[in-house]
Amino acid sequence: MVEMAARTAQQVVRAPGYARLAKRMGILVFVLLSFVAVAIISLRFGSLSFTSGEIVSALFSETDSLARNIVMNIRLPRLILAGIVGANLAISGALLQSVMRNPLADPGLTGVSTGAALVAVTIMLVFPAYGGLVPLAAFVGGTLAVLLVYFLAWNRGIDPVRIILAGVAVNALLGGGTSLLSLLYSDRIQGVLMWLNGSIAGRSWYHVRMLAPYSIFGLIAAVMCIKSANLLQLGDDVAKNLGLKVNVARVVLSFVAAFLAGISVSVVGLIGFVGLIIPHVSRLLIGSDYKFMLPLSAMLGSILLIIADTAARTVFRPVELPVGIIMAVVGGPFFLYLLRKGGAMR
Amino acid sequence: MPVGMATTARAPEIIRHVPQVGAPRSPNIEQLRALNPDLVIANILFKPALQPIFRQHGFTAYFIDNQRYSSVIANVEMFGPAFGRTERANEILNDIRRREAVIRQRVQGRPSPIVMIIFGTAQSFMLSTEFSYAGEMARMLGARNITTTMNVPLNVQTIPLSMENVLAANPQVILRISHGNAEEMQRMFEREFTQNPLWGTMSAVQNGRVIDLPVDLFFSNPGLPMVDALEHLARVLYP
Repeated sequence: MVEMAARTAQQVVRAPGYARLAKRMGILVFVLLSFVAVAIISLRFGSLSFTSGEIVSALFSETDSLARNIVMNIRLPRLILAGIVGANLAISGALLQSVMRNPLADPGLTGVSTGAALVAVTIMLVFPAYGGLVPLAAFVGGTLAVLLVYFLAWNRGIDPVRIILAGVAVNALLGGGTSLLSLLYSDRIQGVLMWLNGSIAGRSWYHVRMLAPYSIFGLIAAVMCIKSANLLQLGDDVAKNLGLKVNVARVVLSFVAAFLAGISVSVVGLIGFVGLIIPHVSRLLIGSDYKFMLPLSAMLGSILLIIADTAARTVFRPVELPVGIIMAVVGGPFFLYLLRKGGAMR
Repeated sequence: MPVGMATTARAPEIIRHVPQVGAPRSPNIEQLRALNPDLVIANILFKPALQPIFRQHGFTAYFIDNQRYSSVIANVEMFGPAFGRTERANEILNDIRRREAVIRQRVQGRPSPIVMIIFGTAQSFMLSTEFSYAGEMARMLGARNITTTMNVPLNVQTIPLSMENVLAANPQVILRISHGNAEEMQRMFEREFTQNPLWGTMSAVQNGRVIDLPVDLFFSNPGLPMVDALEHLARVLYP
C-alpha cells in the first residue's frame, strides 16, 4: 500500500516535470525550424534579386553563373558567419549574466570589445601595413582588456559588482583611446567605420575557416560550464554549500564568455545587443535552467544576427549597412519593449 | 604672408618654417591668438565646429572647399586676385590647362571603362563615388564609376556598397586607394584578392587591371600636385 502510494505520489510529482520538458523540447524544436526558415530566407534575399529557381540551381548545379557566384561566395559564407557569431555572442552574454547575477551584463562589460577595438583601430589607422594581423591582434587586445578588468576586480575573490565597476572604468579608458585615434587620424576614418560598427559584408570563406574551429572549442567549453552557471545563479552561499568553488567558477565562465566574444569581434568587428537581449528572451521563453537556456540562446542569437545581416544588405540596397547599426536600431527598442513588459527582469 | 598653418605632414617645402597651430579640425586657439592673423582660412568641412569659436575670439575666418580637383582650381582663381597675385595665379592656371589639354588628347575617343575605386584597407573599405577627389578625376577622364550604375540616392564621397551589386556591375578597372606603405598595402590587398574567390570573377581582376594608386597623390587632395594625379590616372586608365 505504502509503496504504491509512494509510486503514485512520484508520478504525480513527475508528471508536470514531463509536461515542462515536453514544452521546452517543443520550443527548441520550433526555434530550430525557425532557424532553418531564416537561413533559407537569408539565402533567398540580398541586394540583387534572383528568382527562387535561380537560387536553387545556384546551390545545386555546378554551372558558373552570377547567381551561383553570389549565393556560394557571398550569401552562404555570410549566413554561416552570422550564425556562428550570433551564437557565440548570445552564449557569451548568457554566461556573463550568470557570473554577474546581473541582467545588464553583456560581453562588452568584460572590456573584450573595447580592448579589441582599440588594438584593431590602432593597426588599421596607424600601422595599416599590418592589417592582416587585425583578427589576431584584436583577439589579443580583447584578452588583455579582460585580464585587466579581472585583475582590477580581484580582491581575495571576485565580486560581481567589482567586475562591473572595473569593466566600466576599463571600457571608458580604452574607448577614450579609440576616440583619440579616430580624432587624430580623422582623414582615414572611413576605412575603419565598417569594422567599428560590425560588418559581415566582405567576409568570405576564409573568415569562416578562421572562426569555426575556435568557435567549436568555445562552444564545447560553454557546454561544460552549464552546471556552474546554474549554481552561480543561486547566489554565492547556496552555490558554495552545493560544493561549487565560486571564485574559480566565475573566472572560468568569464573567460569562456570573453573567448567567445573575442574571437567573434576579431573577425567581424563590434556587434552589440545580441549578447544582452538574447539571453533575456531565452529566459522568458524557456526558464533559467542553462541546460535549455544556453542552446536556445545560441539558436536565437544565430537567428537574430542572420536576420540583421540580411536586413543590412537589403534594406537600403545597393548601400550596405554595418550589421552592428541594424542591431542597435532594432535591438534597442526591442529591449525596451521587453523591459516595459516587465518580464525581462529576473 | 602665412604666419601659421595647421599641423600636417604634407606641407609644401616653402612653408615648412611656418609655425604650426594644431590639427585642422581643432586648431589651438591660444597659439592662433598669439600669431594675430588678419585672416584664418579653414576647411569648410569643419565650419560647423570652428565658425562659432572663431567668431567668439574675433578672428576673421574664411572657409574653403578643398575637397576636389575642381575646388583647387576655383581656389587659385579666387586667392590670386584676393592676395594681389593675379599674375602668379594665371601662370599656375595656364600651366594646369596646358597639361589638361595633353591629357584630353590621350583620352579622346577611347572607350570609357567601368571603374571601381576602393578606399580603405583590405579589411575594411568603402567605394569612392564621383563626388570624391579621385572619383571626380576619374569622371573627368571619361571613366564610368561603378557607383553611378546603381541608384545611390546620396551625394557622398564614399559609400559602403553591396558586393552583390558590385559583382553584377562587373568593374573593368579596380583602383585601390589606401593610406600607409604602398607595397605593404598592395601585398595585403593581393592576399584578400586571392583568398576571397569573389574577386577572381571580376573582369578587372581577370584582365589584370587592378591598380594601386600612389598615396601621396590620391589619398586626399594634395593641392596643386593634383594635376600630377590626373596625369597618373589618365596613364593607368588608358594605357
